[in-house]
Amino acid sequence: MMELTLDKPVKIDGAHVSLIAVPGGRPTVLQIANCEDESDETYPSMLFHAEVSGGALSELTNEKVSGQLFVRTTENGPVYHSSRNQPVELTITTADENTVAGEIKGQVVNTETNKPVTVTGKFSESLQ
Amino acid sequence: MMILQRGSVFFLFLLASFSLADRGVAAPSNFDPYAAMDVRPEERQQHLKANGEKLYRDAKAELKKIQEKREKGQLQQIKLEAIGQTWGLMLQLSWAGSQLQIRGESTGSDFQWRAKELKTELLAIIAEYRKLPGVAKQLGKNLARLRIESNATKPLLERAQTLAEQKQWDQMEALIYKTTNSLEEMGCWYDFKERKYSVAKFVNPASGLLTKGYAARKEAAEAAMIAARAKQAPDFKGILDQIGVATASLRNSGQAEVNGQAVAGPLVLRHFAGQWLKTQNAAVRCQGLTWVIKAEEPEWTQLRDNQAKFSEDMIPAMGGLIAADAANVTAEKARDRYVAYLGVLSTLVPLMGDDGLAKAVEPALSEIASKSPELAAEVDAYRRATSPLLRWRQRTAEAYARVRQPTVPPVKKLLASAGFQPALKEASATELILQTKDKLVGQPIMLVDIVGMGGASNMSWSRYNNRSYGRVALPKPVVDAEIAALRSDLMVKEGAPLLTLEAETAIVTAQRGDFVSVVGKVRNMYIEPLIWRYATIPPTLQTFLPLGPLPLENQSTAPWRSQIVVRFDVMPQWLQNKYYFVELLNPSTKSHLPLKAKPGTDKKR
Repeated sequence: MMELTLDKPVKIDGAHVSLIAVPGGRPTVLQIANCEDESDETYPSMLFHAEVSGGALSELTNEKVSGQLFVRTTENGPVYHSSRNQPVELTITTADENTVAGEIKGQVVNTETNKPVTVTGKFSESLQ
Repeated sequence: MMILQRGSVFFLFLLASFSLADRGVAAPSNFDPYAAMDVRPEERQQHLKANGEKLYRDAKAELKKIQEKREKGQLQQIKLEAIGQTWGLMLQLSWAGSQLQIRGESTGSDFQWRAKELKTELLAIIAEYRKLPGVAKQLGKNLARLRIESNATKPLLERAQTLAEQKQWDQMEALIYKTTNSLEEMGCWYDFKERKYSVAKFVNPASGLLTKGYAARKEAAEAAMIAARAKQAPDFKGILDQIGVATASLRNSGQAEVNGQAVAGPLVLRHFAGQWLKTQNAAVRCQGLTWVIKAEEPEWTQLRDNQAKFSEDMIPAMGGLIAADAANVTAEKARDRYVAYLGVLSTLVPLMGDDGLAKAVEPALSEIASKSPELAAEVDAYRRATSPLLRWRQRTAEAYARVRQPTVPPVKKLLASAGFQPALKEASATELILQTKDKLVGQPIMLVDIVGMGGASNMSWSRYNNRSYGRVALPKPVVDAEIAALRSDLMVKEGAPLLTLEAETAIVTAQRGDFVSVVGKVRNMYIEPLIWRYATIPPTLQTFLPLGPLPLENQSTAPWRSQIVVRFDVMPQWLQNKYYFVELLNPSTKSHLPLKAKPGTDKKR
């Protein structure tokens, strides 16, 4: 689950963390989403996407990872997204065989107001 | 955010794009309402159009001189003969219109509207001129001369009758036009009663001959158009049959013959993609000619239905072609074959009006990928790493556009509010431009379904819809930055192909300059004849319509030859690509998409 504070607190069910080794000599992608597949998506919904150089989540512990964050609290509502020059920062605080957890902070923009919003929060996923 | 100064320079660049592109554009527009509408490329039509446009501009200039004198209270300084000669120019313009109309050109109807409008203005001056002191005396002398000249036209009329019997229409028309012009230059001053004993003696019987000649020439022109149409007739069945043969060949041998050479599936698909575009273009051109040709022919009135059926049949045919090839692909060849198919499909799929083709080819692409477990795993990993990001990019772009769209009227509503009717029913194209340009130029407008020209072009075109289409000057530096960001997100890397149709299409369409919607201000507007637009659609504008059924056109309120299309040049304010959104805030430019950091740059060392 993920708890974020945007203009107001947002609780997101599920925080599926995946580290995807992309073929063709490309970087590994760290992805956190509240659903594994679009068909399972519920709102509020989110995606964190970053390229990382580590090969395992444990290698990323206590590392700051810069990436893109998208959040939508309702199906047709505005999207909060990190802007081009200000990626959000994610830190994995725990990555063991039972849990992946971390914190997130940065700034996102609301598509409706076009104004920046500070985002802070944490996530955790039980791997059992 | 771009810096202020650069924004200003950038907007000047966009303006310059249109200025350069406008040179050589033949259409009545806000910057030249007096230009003629275009005609088909045949030499005769081009000559008639050029002649008609010259007559119009000359008549307009002469009328202006007369009007200026009148405004200064110096109408008496204008010679009676000068007014007569101006009237003659207007008559000639009307005849040029008739000649073009015979050949199925809407420009002919427009010339006749223009002649009528000019004549109305000149008749008001003639009425005023007649009241000037001393003019009655001049008119008396003029009438006497006119009667003498009219009486001398008897042998000319007999000559015209002989030429008509011999079907020497060119000579007959030249003789009648010349004689009528000479008489009308003097006769434009008189009413029906006075004309009865002068001009009418020649003009009335001569107009009967002209009608006869026009009918004969119209028949010949139609025969020529029927021949031209037959020459470029779309061969719907032929293409589908050829695909059937190629599909069987791919299934049996893994190759099929294209232009005398045995080639692999992706090249076969590319060949038929090209044939599909050509066939659709031919159908569009033939549709235009069919509206001109009056004779009802069942197979041509069904053109639209046949083309719709063909479009429907092509989707499973193309899917079947790949599926037939997939059955033969080995694990060793799977990667190259898969990537090659993505390359062809990424240019073809976005030309469709919907995702029917993308869905139809999906099973066959999956089958090819599954031939190599290694490839299948790579495709799966690439899809998982890129598809959610593309989905969120799309949502973000849509969310930005949705907030801004309600403030911009759709094209149809904008045209209606300006009083712009898509047919020349009550006035010429010139008049229509003059009446509406101030209500349209400079106004916000939203174009949808925009396809880029690709290459070095900085223009994209919105597809034709509801009697309008438009050209957008692309803010290249801004668009290029967005493309770079998209390429980075999709991890485009030399020697490492993209592995999903979704990603490949995203890059191809972004690089080509495709957009879901663009909002901007109308910079220029042009009027084109509907028939001409369809009948002369060039191969470079094959993105004029999506691959699929032709649109329904309505001619309930005016005949086909009066139907028109409006084309806009648009200075963009914001652009919505499927996967990004940019707003050009003059003078600065703002992008609404994230740029990821390089991997590991923030990692603690």
